[in-house]
Amino acid sequence: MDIGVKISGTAHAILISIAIFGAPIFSADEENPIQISEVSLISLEEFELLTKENMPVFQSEPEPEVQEPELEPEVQEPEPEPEVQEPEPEPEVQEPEPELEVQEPEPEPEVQEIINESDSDLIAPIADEDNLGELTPELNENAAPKAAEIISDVSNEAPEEPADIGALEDTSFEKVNGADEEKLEIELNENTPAEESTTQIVTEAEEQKSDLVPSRTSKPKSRPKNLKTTKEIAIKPKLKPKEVVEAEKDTTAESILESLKEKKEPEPFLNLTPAQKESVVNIIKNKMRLCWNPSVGVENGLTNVMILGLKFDIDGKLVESPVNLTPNSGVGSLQAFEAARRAVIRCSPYNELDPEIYDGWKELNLKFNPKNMGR
Amino acid sequence: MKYFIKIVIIGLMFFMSKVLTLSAETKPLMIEITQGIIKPMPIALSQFTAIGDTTPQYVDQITSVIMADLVGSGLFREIPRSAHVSANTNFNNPVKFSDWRVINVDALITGSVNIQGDKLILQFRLFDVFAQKPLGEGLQFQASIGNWRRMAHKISDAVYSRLTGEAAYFDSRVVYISEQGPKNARKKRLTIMDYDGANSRFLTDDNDIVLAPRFSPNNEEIVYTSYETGVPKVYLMNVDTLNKRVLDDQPGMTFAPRFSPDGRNVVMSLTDRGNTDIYSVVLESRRKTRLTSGPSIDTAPSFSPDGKQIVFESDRGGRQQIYIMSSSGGDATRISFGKGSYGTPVWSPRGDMIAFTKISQGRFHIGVMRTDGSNERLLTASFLDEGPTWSPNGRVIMFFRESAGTNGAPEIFSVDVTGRNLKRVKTIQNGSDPSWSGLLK
Repeated sequence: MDIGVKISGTAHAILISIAIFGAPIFSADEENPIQISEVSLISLEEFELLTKENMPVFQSEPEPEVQEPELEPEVQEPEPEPEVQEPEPEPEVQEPEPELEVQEPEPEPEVQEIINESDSDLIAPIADEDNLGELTPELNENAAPKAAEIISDVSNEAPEEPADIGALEDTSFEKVNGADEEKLEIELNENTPAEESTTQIVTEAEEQKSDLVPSRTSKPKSRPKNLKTTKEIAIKPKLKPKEVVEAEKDTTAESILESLKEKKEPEPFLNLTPAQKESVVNIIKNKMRLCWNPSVGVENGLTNVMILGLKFDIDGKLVESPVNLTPNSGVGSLQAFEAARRAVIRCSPYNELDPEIYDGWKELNLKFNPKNMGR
Repeated sequence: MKYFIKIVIIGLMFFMSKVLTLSAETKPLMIEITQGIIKPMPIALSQFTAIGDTTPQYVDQITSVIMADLVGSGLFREIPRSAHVSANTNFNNPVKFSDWRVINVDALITGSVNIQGDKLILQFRLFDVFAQKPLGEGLQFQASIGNWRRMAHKISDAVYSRLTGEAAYFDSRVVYISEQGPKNARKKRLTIMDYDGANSRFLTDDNDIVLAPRFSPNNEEIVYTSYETGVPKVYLMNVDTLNKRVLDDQPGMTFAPRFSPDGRNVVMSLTDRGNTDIYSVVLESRRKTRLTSGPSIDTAPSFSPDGKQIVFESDRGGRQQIYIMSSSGGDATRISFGKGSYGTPVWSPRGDMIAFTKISQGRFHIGVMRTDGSNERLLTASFLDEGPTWSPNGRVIMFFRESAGTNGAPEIFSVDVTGRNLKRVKTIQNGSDPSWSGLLK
């Protein structure tokens, strides 16, 4: 009995060891001659096929003098945006916006292509003058005379004198208090919220109910120190510019297979310690607190929860437009996504994130939940 | 034996932890963002391109109305033209987004104004500056020059809808009671205006007291109460021709009228021999149906958007409260239970909320609650706030506020459903009893 148990235990231990340390212990490694014979047996057709199919993902030896491409979001390459972001068909959006830093004169788009007079989903264009005469009866020459002109002994003109172009007043509303006057101030610092911004909505009735104003608590500025050593950072794969990849197309079958084999190797992943994770979370939350401006005043503004997928380079810059990962969509979800996307782009770059733990934040998912805002 | 079991258990635990760790590593870190800022979205309206016979004054006039609409909604904030880094000299030129991002503009509106003879053509596009892409398609509106203000409102509506995801309300009108003179001898006139106070027009003279006008669903007619015969009666008036007729010429006072959603019926209060109940009148046949009964005062009826229910105020419980009943009458369910009295309930065009007037502790409030009476929220507080009316999109409430004292006079205010954007609406005279139309066609 004991011998059986011992044998069984030993066998299990060996199996577990294989499961855990199997690769290093039992791996044939590169000394296996079969691998060499595979390379030598590849045909020309296979080679061409491999070259054609695998060239975009080909990676060769890194060249130290090659610099990483700057992938600032404001200089986006004309790559197609993720389809999930724009449910509406936008034919003219297909034209990539010109690179803004390198403004080149482009042929002006035809108005007829962009201004859709008949098929607009938003608002049907006003068709012609005759129909419009009915829209504003007092301006329709064909309409019957208005009894109002006889009844009225006071001017019918609007307070703003709409007929007098020069004297037009641009708004017919008067502000209840002067707070909104300050809205005209310009924010030159992109990451700074407007002065009139708030995290709560207080109605007039609530203001009069209580004069209590909650005092603010200042959050500790210090962030947890990163404890990770730099040893693992050295193996972080570097991004390669497209030109370099293009220049390396002329390669041998051996190098292709070699690169494919390298690609299969798992990417190093850096586990975050709790302190490191907290550091990343705090940095992102603090930045979003200043940059995220959900439209709480609109329908579902407080209930639309959005999840965005982000990818960063090691400098904390977004390498691509944020992706909408939200499974469901409903009223106001497009606007909620756009508000979250603006927040992410506005707060970029995220250079406060520690490059030593880049693998821990090179991809992040942000869940924007406004449910506790506005009240 | 125990030694091997321990080894197996430890090995299994190590193996499982390794597996779990590996699976966890494959997912990016998820961070939940629950705090942001609440502020109006910064938008910029690039100088519209003037084409044809267009004068700069016209361009300024149109763009001013658009910006006033958007900023007035409380959801947007204008980045003034003086801060613009670049000017758009041609509507078709590509937008230099970096110039707008540097001044922190979220959304940019570009456009052109083209006057050809007496025809006005407006074009515009909307851009997300940070995403560097257009938001929806550009649009073009064409009309006679005299309709420039409506065209500007149309552009505002389109921009508002695209940026908020909900219907807009700028191309709409309000009918209200203009008031002039001392409190004890006040002249009242039925008046119609654009939602922003422009294009005001009197519909009646000041010989008779008029009260509580209400728009029909197609915005072509109004019902209101007039003392023309000395006794308050409900009248029906065509807004264009100003032809009017009394709705019910039977004995008794009729007041507080309101159209059904299909425009075929009007519900109103009728006081006969001291008892006030709610009646429904078929406009075509003038057939009258009694919906409530009893000695209490039942008044201020308002249909649900689907026409199946009516919300009204009643003192049947000893105090003025809000009740809901079927549109064919019958049993009513009380939905207001807070301290104080409730009145003038109005069902939201969305159907999700009811606006009301509340009197509590000597103060008047405009508030909203769900249709089951839950989630009551008071939006305003003053000496006298009364008569709420919903915007076409159900996001803004207009009401009137009267100041205290012998010189106190009513003024029209608006507030959004969050209670954040409270402001006064300019009118040519003092105003009360506003009623908001639907969006114009």
